[in-house]
Amino acid sequence: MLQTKELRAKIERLLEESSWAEAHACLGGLWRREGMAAAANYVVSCYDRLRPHLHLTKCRVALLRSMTLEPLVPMLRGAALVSGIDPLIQIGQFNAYVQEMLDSGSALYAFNPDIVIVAVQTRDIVPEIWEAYADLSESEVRAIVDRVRKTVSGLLRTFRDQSNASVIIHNFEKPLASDGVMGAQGRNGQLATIDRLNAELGELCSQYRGLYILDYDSLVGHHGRARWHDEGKWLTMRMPFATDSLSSLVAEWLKFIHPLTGVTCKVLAIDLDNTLWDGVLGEVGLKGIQVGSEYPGAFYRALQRAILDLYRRGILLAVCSKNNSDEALAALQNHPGMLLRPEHFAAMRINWQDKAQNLHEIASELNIGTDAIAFLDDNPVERERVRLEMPEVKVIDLPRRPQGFVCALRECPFFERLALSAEDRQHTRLYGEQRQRAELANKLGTLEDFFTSLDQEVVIAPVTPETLTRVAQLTQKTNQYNVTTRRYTEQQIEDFASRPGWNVYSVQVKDRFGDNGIVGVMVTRTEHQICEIDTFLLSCRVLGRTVETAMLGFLAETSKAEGALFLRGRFIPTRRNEPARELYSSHSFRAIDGEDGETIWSLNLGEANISCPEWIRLHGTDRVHHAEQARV
Amino acid sequence: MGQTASITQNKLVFSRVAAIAAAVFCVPESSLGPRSSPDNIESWDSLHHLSLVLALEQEFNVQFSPEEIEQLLSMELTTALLEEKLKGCGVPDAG
Repeated sequence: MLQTKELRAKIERLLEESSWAEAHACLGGLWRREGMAAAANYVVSCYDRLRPHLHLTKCRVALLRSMTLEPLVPMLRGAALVSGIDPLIQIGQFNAYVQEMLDSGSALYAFNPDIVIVAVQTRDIVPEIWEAYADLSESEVRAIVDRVRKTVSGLLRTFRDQSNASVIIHNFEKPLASDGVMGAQGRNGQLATIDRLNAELGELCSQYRGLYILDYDSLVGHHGRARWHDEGKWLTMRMPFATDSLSSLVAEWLKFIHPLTGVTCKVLAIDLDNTLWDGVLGEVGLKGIQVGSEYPGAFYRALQRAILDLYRRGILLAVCSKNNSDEALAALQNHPGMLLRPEHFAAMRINWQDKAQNLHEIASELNIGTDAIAFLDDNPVERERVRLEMPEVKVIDLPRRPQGFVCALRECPFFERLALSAEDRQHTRLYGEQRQRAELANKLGTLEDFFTSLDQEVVIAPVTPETLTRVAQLTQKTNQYNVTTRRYTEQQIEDFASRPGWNVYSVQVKDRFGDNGIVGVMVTRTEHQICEIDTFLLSCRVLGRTVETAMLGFLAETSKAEGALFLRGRFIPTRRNEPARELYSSHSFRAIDGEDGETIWSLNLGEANISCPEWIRLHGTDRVHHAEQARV
Repeated sequence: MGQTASITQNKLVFSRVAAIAAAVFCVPESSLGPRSSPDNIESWDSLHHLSLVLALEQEFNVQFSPEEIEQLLSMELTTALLEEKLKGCGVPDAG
């Protein structure tokens, strides 16, 4: 382990040598060791030099607050930067969040944030409940709860009417009960009242898109209520937190910022020995490894449970282990204490190869980028090796003792999701079906035979409230077959769909193996008889199956029917979207313009036509006609 | 002997405080001396003062009372107070 001074010297050297990716990885190491106020400014200043050479996801974050948060700003920036997010942060005036949200001319709206964090406290919003609860009658308490609901509801509605930004709002924190143990009794105690306020807040947030609750009360509780606060700093400087709480709060904010910016992982690649079970299988055999309900196997079973929770969230699992394959598979299949079984894994690499090589293979088998992989391994040497070899992989640090494994995994922000679509829940099953499709492709002769045998059905429809979450999610997650890679929130998609001349379509694909769910999105804007394709994307699940031709065919037909003369598309190259580069050229579009690597393509609808491949049954509904045009 | 040890420790604490203050105030470490204070360091305003306090609390694993925070008005005073607080509990290892 390098000392801090040496680590900083190393970072300086890497910056001098223009070894950007390594410097980025080293800064991550520095931050993991001392992610605190003193290191934050240094880390942030290093990124001023690194920024032009790295792929960092930008976002604009507004902090509205009723307390002093300035010292947390560099910490938030430092923590975000080392995990690939480059936030521009604006901090609101002290305790002015109400005016800022209500006044459309305020600095908040001028800043045009992507994310707004509303960091407020019970003692600011309802001081009477926080500190003078004993003075209140039942009816006064009811009136206060009512007043809070109305105020907060008004704030959120006004904000939502004027901004599409996602909002993260701290919920109401509980004090040390002023009515003693009685505070927890019945429905009228102080604590029960705060529970009621939080329930109201949750109800309000569920009425609007893009409003999320940060469970501040649980965060404080998890950390330890008595340890969280520093009343001295609150009274003198209006900063309520003890020093130790700062990084916990920053980490909690990041758990929202990651899914909101799409900087997340899709796959968890897991080691076996001493990670999923206690012991080395090759040495102690199936009967010797421990996982189950007793010590120490229970710690490993608890980790398996946490991994299973991620699987239910739609995270794909992969095994990446140095072992004898047959032996390890038998353990996964037959060990009575195991919660994870072979069917939970979308890919397996159990061999004696280098793990970095295995991770590359897992990525290509699952058709994802290596930056979408998180790696879980108890062995610090393997972790360091993967970090050096593949700085883009998110390596999760496990503590030395298995007691801490579950916490380390659950605190990892790359698996956070803010909403689950039906597709997420079925994710791994779909990947199982994908394996069968690949096997079928190997059996059949010509590509046309394969396409025909798939028996594909493509359903294109305007976005609905039910499909909105999935559509927005696809714009955020799809990297490869995505011509413009424009990331949109649910609020933005909803907004587009309501504008005249705009269309947002979801694309669902079914085949003989099952329903792939919604796997494509198109956003178009028609103006002056030109239908411009703002977004055109397809999940990697259905690539290479001519679904894109059916989609373009649909667009050509419907835009023509709406009076457009030209269909126009744009290709914006990224590090990842090479697969989509030929979309327009391979469908008779002509390149008409371009700069900075971007190209603009046009199709004259009077001259050319794109027809749906004969092996696809297309069901399209456009917004204007609402009529289903079925073609078989 | 005891005095030498104390002077060495004094220097050690000062250099650690200077490293942290340099990072917090965004100035070169070499520009900070015992007399550095809000009067001659432009970025040493009340919010940066709070950041300095938090950074020192984390680094040295101590806690300052509101009265103490008001006393930390130069590098020299800060180092002296820290030494006082660290007396008896030994200086924790750097970094």
